[in-house]
Amino acid sequence: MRYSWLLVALLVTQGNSWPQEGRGAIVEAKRLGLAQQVGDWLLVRYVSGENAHFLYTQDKRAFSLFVTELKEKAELKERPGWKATALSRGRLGYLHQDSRTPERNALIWRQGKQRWMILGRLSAPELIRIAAKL
Amino acid sequence: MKDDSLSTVLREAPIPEPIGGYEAARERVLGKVRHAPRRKVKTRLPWLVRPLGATALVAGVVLVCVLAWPEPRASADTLPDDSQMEQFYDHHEANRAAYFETAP
Repeated sequence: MRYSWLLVALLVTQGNSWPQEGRGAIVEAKRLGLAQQVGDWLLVRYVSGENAHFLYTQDKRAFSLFVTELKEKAELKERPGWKATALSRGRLGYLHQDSRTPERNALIWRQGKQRWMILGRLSAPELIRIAAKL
Repeated sequence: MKDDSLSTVLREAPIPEPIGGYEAARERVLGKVRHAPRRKVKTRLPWLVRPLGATALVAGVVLVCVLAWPEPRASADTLPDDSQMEQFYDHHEANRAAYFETAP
């Protein structure tokens, strides 16, 4: 019985390859096909999860990109608090403003089978400009 | 008749002689005497079968638990509501602070 626990422990440690947070996991982001540089913004951090989180910075400012896998290629449904806006390449996006901190805005759009959201202390036109580059 | 009761009649019935006669029957019975085996016949390797079997059992149980684990109902097909958006904003803020604290 002792040997069986040893076997189980060996199997578990061999199969352990979780992506980590921080700078070391930029290769994970590259493997997912995300650009490391968007305009003047550099990708500095990647947190895996249901909503994959990519942090881009430029000097002292930063914005986050959240990528969520959708179940089907469904359209995003409208919700109160979100304003529809047109993005480049004929895409439809939704703008959101944080009620607690009005200087924080978010922009969501559907990219293939994924839902992409960028948010940060940026104004809405800036977010739209970043979305045009993504 | 001396005693016509059922038990008496059954008891005084003659015992039939065995098939083939007494000598043949004696040989037959004595030939079937069981002897104690000298050595136990080993068919499996217990020191290997028990750990592997236990591991397989544990792995099977773990597999069933993992497969039966319910997936979170992500409302990814709709826009996130306000509480989820607050979580996203806080997550961004936390990671941004963590990065700028550790970055030179």
